[in-house]
Amino acid sequence: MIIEYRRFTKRYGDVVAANGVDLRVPARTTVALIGPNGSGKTTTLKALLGLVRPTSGEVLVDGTDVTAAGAGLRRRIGYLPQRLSFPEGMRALEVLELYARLRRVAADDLRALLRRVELEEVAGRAVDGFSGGMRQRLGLAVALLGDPELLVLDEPSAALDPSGALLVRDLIREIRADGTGVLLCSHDLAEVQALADQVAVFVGGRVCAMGRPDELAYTGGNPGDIEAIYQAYAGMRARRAEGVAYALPS
Amino acid sequence: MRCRAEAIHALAGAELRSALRGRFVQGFGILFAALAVGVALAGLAASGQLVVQGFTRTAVSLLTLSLYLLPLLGLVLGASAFGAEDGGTELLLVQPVSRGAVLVGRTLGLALALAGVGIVGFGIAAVVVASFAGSEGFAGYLLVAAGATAVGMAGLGLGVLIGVLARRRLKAIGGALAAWLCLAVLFDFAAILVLQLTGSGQPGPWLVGLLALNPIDGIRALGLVGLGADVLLGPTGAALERSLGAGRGALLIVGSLGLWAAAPLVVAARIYRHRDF
Repeated sequence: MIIEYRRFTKRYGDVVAANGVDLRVPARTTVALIGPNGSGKTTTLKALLGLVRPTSGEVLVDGTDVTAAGAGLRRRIGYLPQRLSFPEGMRALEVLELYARLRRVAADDLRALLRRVELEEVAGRAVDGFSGGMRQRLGLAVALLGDPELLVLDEPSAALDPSGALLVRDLIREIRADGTGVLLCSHDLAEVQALADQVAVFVGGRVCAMGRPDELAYTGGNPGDIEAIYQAYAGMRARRAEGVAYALPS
Repeated sequence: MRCRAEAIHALAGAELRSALRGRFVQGFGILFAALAVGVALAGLAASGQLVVQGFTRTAVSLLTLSLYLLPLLGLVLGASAFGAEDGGTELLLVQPVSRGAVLVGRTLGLALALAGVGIVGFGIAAVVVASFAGSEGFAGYLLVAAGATAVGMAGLGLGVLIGVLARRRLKAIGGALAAWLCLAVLFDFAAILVLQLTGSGQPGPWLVGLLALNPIDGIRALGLVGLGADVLLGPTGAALERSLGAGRGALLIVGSLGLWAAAPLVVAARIYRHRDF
């Protein structure tokens, strides 16, 4: 699955959330969107999922505009939203059964899926009592239903404690190893460093740099260091004002 | 078509289960059932013993109570479910299911939960009445139960629209409570004012028109007529019966109730289908 954003723009009244985003996500790669709050990362993800309609520009999946693609495309993509919630009082297995029915996935392997995200033992427990990490892992299980070609993850480890974040990170690493593409946005630069094949840096609603970490400019440290890349692009103006130089890899 | 029906079925089942397990519906159901049974018991008779009212008297008492409570439940349920635009809503909308199916399925589940509350409340009271006072007047009681539940459904439709428009749960619930206050309380004052200004002060075309505008008042009036308004309310009831009993007035009110239930849902579906999340 190849994804292309061409001059994707989204305005909410006077507010420009995405301002001519050009981005290409190759098949079976992990691409991380990084950038400050309000730089257009989540809006860009949501446009791919049909949750947000472009004001102008296009979002294409394998050459087809997502606004015309419909249910067939949604079946190929798994999504983990940022502020995850499940219907009140439902048990973990019931949540998976609901989404399996909506995705028309056989219900035989749901326990195996819960085992994969280490929730099999609490399959019969109401999700209301789940910790943030458990909810996130259940969300990942939902996203994995039907073996999607691409996983879209919006801040997958936000609000998790370190062990929860590491567990989720390991799971994403496993999913990548199976050949599933991952498009994620994250403020956790260590997570991005650990997972991303490519990085797109968002500033002011547009992509100001995109490529393999070792291809991008950086401030101090080593080539490919995500923190230094982030500083070079997202913090560029502020850093310039402070007189910090940034470099391109040789 | 089959996929759509299956998705609606799955969503309705999940919403129903979730609503029935939620504290709000459980609490409301218990409250309504307790009040309904309380109404069925006439109170202490002169002998100092509890006596049970017959179906007709219970229906008259329950008519007012249920027409306050069931629309309130419907409004809050709909607004609360669709006012919360969070990751849960996003997760549903990215599934290979149309947005229309999501709205219809979830609303259907909420409607079943609301009907369940109505059935339990009216049902328990009916068992108490039938056990001690016989079955006379049961048909009228059923009419009241059906009418009040239908008004609850109209409230649900309006609540869904309020939720879709509000996009935030607290704002949506606030809107639902304001709508309930307008329909259940303030409308009556406005209606009295209109009838005074039009000069008649008596039931007539103006009254029928006003009753058709508000499903709570409309069904209350129809319920009273069905239970024998002339006996219950004297000359005013007789006049009301003349206004509605001819058939056209009653049809207008029933038609208006259907419109109240359907129109907000149609508008909500239109907005839901084209909105950004």
